[in-house]
Amino acid sequence: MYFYNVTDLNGNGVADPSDLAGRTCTASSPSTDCAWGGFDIANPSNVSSPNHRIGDYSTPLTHELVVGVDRELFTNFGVSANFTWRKFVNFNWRPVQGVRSDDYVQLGTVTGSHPTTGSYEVPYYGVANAPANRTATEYVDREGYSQRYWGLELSATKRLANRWMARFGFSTNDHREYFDGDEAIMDPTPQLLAGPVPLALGAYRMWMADRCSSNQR
Amino acid sequence: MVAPRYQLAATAMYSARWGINLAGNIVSRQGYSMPYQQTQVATGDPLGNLKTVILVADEVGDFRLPNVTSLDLRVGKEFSYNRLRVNLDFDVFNALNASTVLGRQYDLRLSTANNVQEIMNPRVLRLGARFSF
Repeated sequence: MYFYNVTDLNGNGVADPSDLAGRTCTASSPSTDCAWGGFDIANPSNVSSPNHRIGDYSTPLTHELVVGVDRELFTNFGVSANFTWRKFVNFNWRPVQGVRSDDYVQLGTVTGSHPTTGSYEVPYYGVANAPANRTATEYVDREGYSQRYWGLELSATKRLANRWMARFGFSTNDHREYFDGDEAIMDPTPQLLAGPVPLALGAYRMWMADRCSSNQR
Repeated sequence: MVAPRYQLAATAMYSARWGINLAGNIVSRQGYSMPYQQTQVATGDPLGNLKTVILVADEVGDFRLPNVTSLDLRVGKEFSYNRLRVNLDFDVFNALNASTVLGRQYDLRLSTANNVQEIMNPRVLRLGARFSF
């Protein structure tokens, strides 16, 4: 629980109990006065029906396969190649309880144009029926969600001999995320989310097209 | 942001006369993607009204910043006395003085949309000394 705008009465630079004496924080307190989290402020001792729940989830796994080869082609000159494949599975997340992408419907379309991008038309979505408790989340496996990475590294090395050395390297990679089913995503709106994962909108749109056609069937 | 898909790097060094070493390093990579977006889109979603929507036609990597290429050069000489070694180096970073764009304003809602926000550091000269013992 946090209190804002606390007056440091004795000027010691610390929020002492005496500075907070008389302050209260309730569910009806203005957000500029105090904030809380992790418990029901209307019933702080309640542990029977937590707002958030923990469901079935397992440890995230990364499967990795690396294949490499090195070869000395000539004296003092060698080449090498490495291929890396990774599959990321068993992701877990904390969506709103019971809400998944099949609860969403298209609410509209963002349209416009810009000299850089040209015209654009992107649908956005929202839940058709809001859950009774919008803040209740669940910590569960993210079913149907996975990532795949592959990378290729090539290098050629002329080791230091005859007064010179050189190295050349090239690398390329492809890292994508996949949404296989309604359980894999909550809000289908194409959004920029935090994290190192690239947005594979192509895969996302293919899944959406398949989902929409399935719903139509 | 979607990272570059490829990168090239080359390094070379030549040990010239009088203990003078000449070296160069060049790196070239694809630019990062430009995730053009529109912030504060009022969607009416009960779970979150205002959203930042990505505005790309197909793949998020369709719009990319230009390729980044940087060339660094070094001339150095080593002096040694018993176990003490002193290296004097003269480095030139970004020798091509490239000013490649590294970031733009991607929010098309703003009047400053697509304005350049970051470019490569300019050419930098450095005179350095390293002591080893």
